[in-house]
Amino acid sequence: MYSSKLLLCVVMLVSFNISTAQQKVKKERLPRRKPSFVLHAGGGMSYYTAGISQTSVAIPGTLNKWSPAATLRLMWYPRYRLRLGIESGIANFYRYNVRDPDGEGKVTLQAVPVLVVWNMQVRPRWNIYAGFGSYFLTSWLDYRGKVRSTDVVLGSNVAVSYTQPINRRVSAAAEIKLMNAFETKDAALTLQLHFVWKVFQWD
Amino acid sequence: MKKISAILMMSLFFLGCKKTQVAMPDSSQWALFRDGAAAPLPYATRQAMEGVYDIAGNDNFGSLAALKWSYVVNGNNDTTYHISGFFGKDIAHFICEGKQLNGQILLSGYWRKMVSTETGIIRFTIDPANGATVLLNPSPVLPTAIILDGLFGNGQDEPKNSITLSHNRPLHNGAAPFNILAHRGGGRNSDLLPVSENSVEMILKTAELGSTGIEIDVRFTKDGIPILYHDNDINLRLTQKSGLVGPIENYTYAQLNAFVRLINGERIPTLRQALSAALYKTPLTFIWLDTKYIGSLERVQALQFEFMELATGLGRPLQIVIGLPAEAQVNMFLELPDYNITPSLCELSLADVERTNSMIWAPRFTEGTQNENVAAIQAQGKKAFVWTLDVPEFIEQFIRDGQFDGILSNFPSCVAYNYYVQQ
Repeated sequence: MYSSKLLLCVVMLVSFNISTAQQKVKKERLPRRKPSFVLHAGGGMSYYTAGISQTSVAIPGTLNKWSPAATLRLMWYPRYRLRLGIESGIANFYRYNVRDPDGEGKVTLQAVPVLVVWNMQVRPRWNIYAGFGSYFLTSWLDYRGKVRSTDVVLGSNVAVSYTQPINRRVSAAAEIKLMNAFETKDAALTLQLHFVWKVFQWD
Repeated sequence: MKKISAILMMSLFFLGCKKTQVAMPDSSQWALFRDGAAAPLPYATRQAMEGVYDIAGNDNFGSLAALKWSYVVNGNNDTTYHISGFFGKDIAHFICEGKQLNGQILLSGYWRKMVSTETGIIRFTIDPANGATVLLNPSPVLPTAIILDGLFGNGQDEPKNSITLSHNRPLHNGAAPFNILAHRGGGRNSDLLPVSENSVEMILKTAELGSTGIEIDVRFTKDGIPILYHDNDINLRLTQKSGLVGPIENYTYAQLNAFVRLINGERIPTLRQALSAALYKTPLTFIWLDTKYIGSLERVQALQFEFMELATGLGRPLQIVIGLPAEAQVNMFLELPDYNITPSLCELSLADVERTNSMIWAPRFTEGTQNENVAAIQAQGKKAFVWTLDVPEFIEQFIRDGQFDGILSNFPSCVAYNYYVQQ
C-alpha cells in the first residue's frame, strides 16, 4: 500500500513538472490562444464493467450495474496542447439485494474519484483525458442494521469527449469515460453530457 | 520496432499483474482405487508405513521423503486418513488416501510444489512382495523392506513418470515433542492453496501439510464476536468482491456472514468455530491465537479456557495460547483476571516473558538461533518457538543448529521434512 501511495506522489510530481516545463518555451513560438481555467460539469449513466460473482454472497439477489453518474472537473488550459486539471464526481459502481432466512439486505458501493487529469485536443473538438489518483469508496449496507464504511484506493480514468461550442465561453460536450479503481478491481464505463464553461481567462 | 516494444511492454504490464491460480488435479479417476472391494487401511498398517524413504527413479523431488499420516473428521464416524510425503526439493509434497485391494496397498492423491504452481496426480502401489503382506498383518513386524512403486503426472495428465520410494528408517522423534506450526491457520493465500487462510477449511487441511499446530489471527466484529481475519480492512487479498469496504470492525458478524466470502468461497469463521474444528476434527495439538487488535482479551480468554477444558475432558492434548506480539497487547493481557495462569506466548523480551508469566517465548527468526536464551527459557520449564521461517535453508539451519521447541512457518511441509529426516 505504501509503495502505491509513493507511486501516486511520483506521478503527481512528474505531471506538475511536465506542465510547468512548457512555460520555458519561448513566447514568440507560442500559439495565440490565451490561458484559461475551464470548468466541466455534467452527468449521465454508468455501467459497472468489471467482473463480480453473485455467488460470492449468501443468496444471489438482484444485481444492478447501472447508476447515474456525475463529473466535476476543473482544467487549466495553458497555451499548449497538454492541459492539466483535477476531477471528481460520483457514481455507484453496483448495488444488489439479498434475501436469506434472517431477512432482506442491500448493498451499494459508491465511488468518488479525486484524480489529477491530463487532457489533449487530438482533433478539432475531440479531446482525450487520462487521470490518476484516488477513489473514495463507500459501502452502504442495510442488513440487520445500517453501516456506512469507507476506504481510499488507487485508481485512474480515461475518457474521450466531443465538444460543441455554444458561444465564446460556453460549450457542450459528450463524453465516454472508463473509471478504474484498479486497487479493488472495480471499473465502470460512463456516458455523460457536460456543460463546459471558460471560467477565467488571462493574458 | 517501437510498436513491437510498446506491445511487449503492454503485454508485460497486463500479464505481469495476472493472478495465477493452481488448478488442483482430480485424482479420483484411478479405477483400481475406486474398486468397490478396496478397503480402508487399518491403524497398525498406517503406523507401520510412516518413515523416511529413499527416492529412486526420478530426481523431480530430491533424494529423501518423510511419510506421515494425518486425519480429518468429516462427520459422525466418518474420518478420512491421508498419508503425506514431504520432499526436500522445491518444498514439494504429496497427499494421498490409502486402501487395500487383493493384498496390495494403493495410495492415490496429488503432488504439489510450493515454490511454483506445479502439481499433478500421484499414485503408489505396494505389492505383497514389497512389504504389503507384512504391513497388512494385524501386528506388522518391523523393520521390513517397504517399496512404494509410484507414477506421477503433470496437471490432469494420466501419471506416467515413475518414482520409487524405499523405506530407509523411522521418522526422527526427539526427546520432547516438536511443534510444527502453520501460519494463518495453515498457509497464506499468496501460496495458492486450494483453501483460504484463516478459514475452518484451512484448519482441517493443515495437518496434511505436516502441521502439528496453527497460528490464527483474531479480530472482533462490531458486535464483539471474535473472528479469524488477518488484515485491518475488507480487501481482495482475503475476500471475494462483496461491495463492502473499510475496516472489518465496522460490520456485525451477521452482516459479514451474509455478505462476505473468503477468497476461495469460505465464510469468515468465528473463533469458536475455528477452535471447535481444531479440537474435534483434527489431530492438532497447539493453537496460537495471534491478537490483531487492541482491546479487552476477556472473550478470547474465556474461549481459550472453555476449549482447553473440553480438550482435557476428551483426554485430547491441546494447548491454546494467547499471543502477545506488542506492548499494547501485553498491557491488555495484564488487565485480565488470572492472567498469570492464562497460557500465553510472548514475542517480546525475556523480561516480558517473566512479567506476563508466559509459557512460551517466541522471538523473530532474524534474531538468530539464540541458543543461550533458548536454554535459559527451557531451564525455567518454558518453551521457545521461532517465527516466521519460510526459506528452506533457514529452516534446515534452525533445526540443525537451534534448540527451539517449535517453528512457525508458511511452509509446514518444509519444516516437517527437515525435522523428520534428521538422523
